[in-house]
Amino acid sequence: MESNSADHLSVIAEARAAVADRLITPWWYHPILGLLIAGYLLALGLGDTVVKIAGVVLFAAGSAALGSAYRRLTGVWVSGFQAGPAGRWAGALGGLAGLAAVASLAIGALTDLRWPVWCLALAGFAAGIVLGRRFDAALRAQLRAGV
Amino acid sequence: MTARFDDVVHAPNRLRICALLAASSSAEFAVLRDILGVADSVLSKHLKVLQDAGYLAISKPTGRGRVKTWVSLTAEGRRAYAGHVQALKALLDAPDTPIDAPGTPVGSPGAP
Repeated sequence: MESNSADHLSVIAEARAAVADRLITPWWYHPILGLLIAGYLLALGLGDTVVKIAGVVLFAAGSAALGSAYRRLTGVWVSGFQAGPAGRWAGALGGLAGLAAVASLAIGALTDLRWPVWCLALAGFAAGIVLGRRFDAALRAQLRAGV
Repeated sequence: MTARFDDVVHAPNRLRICALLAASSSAEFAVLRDILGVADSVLSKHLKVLQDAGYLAISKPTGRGRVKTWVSLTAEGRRAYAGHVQALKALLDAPDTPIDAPGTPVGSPGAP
């Protein structure tokens, strides 16, 4: 029975590794995510009310379309909320994007400066790529690490 | 998490399906079929058993192109699978643990 349990745990480990093998993110996924974040921050910091609303709508629709394309290509979806320890990278990206959005709004409302908003947008673009790829790598390693 | 054998999860193909779905949020029917290496009918049968047990949710999102079937574990299914894995680990750690009562918590005071 001990060996039967070991066999079953081995089957589970193989299944997790198979999911990790499927989770190959297209090269364009994270750059587009970064562009969506950057555009969102620019709209919040530099635009009038209509542009701000359009920025939020475009960001939401673009993110949904990006996720949908990923699901169509890989046939698997792992939400950042259900990713276990790897989800901290998705959480970090969400937190950073949220903080940058507040900062961008504040800069746009309280000052006439434009360059800080462009810097935030650049940082958002980089964060989308770097943290997104860290999430992917951590998730795959976690799935292959064991049961 | 209580270690608990689950008859529904225990069958090898259903254990693999649960492992695949527990490692993801959702997966497409064809992906499950390809990874398991079984026929559509075999996969459908196992998915039906898991769905009837309340462990699985099946959706067919409409949109452009061919409609694809997506499956995911329910919260109850995730709990049952996690408990089953704990039971397997408990057995491996303590091979003398009796397991002749599927559905019984392993190592709990009420276990035989």
